[in-house]
Amino acid sequence: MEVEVFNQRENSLARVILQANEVLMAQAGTLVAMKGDLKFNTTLRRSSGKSHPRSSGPMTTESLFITECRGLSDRNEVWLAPWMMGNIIVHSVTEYKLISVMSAYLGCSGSMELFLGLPEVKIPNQTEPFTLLSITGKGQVLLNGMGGIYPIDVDGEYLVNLNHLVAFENSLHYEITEFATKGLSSWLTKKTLGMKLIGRGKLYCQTHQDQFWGHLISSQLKVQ
Amino acid sequence: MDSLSDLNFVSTLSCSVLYKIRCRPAFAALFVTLVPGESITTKTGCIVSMDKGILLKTQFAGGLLPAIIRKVFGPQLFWVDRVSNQTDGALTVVLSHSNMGDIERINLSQNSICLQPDVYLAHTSGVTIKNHWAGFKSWLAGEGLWKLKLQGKGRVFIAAYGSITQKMVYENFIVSQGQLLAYHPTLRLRYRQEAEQLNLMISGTKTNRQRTKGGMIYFQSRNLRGLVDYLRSLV
Repeated sequence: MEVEVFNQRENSLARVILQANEVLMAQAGTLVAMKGDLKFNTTLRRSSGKSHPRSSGPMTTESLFITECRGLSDRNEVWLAPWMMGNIIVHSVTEYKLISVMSAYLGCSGSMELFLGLPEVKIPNQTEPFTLLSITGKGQVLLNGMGGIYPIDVDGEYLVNLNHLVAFENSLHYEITEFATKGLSSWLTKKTLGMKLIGRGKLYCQTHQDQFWGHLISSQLKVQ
Repeated sequence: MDSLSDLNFVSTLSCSVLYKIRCRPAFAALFVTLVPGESITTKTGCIVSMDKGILLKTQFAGGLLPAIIRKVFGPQLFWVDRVSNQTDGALTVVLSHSNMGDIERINLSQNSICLQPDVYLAHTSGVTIKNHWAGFKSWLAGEGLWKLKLQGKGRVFIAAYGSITQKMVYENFIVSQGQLLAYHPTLRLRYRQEAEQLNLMISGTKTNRQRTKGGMIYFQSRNLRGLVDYLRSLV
């Protein structure tokens, strides 16, 4: 599987070249164009488990539709693009598995395995689920982010705003925490949730966040 | 994308921090490296990621009373985070604005700059936040009775929706409301309702020798209100 990313950063588009019997597992709805002999099969990945200890009722589930594209002859092309404006990066998984935010996943080699909802993350005082995706095996993973994606080689301890997290290697230990602020005023402001990553490994962050942008637009749409 | 070690930091002012604006112009983010004892002040909620050891202190923008006055009489900045490095080594913090667009640096050398609402991103030590009387027309236009004024010696970082253009203005220059980001406080601003659009006429001030003293303005290429109006028309 060969991957090439065009229009880096602003409005990225990925071209994946598949040889015979090679498989691409792309997030459903991200296929832009294709060429050659390809066979498609859509599957559903589910996670189960309570996303929040205070949530009542039945177990909450998160799901991810995956389109499996299998090449039937040599040199087939599949073009992928996310819904949001932003960057696409390619990460090669070799030694450590990659843990990504569900919305950041775009596609990966068919030889890899996806586990939705693993590891399970509990966020205090938040009802909305925060679902992670574990990607194991060896191969290439395509990730997308809102805005630019920048890599950080963590060696020690690093803190990232939870809304700006894209993915990190499993060699890093993680912990959900609040941005610790000092001062009397910090009692009155809303706490920013972050993820503390400890150890050595690769971390990917996005420069912008879709939730904030959506809130900004929707709050102004309501006016008038 | 280049790694953090490839950053080509620029530091020409003695009171300025090392910084680099990356992912310009569409998704600009400000990478700041703080040497021991150094600090930068940023709008609350703009921190993307940071090294261990960075200290955050939330405080009122420019003090309690000025912050309350600005907030009560307009949509201006209230909280800021003071980001400081109290360790022995250099630490990095990444900042970005909620708007998708460019970030621009404004160098202040004992002068000042007025900012429109939701434009401020950060400022270095040596710069202080003050209030600047904007007038009742500004209030009626939804921009507040008081504007945010930053003065002193240091750097101010502003963020825009779209790209940022700077222009020296001497005589009448008309900018659509929502496009203007920052302006020199000595410039005269007049609000003009034209057709369905509110414009701002900016002009320099006359000196004693009948010369016109100009000032720098910064404006953005896109207007968030325009996008919102367009989306509303589709719904």
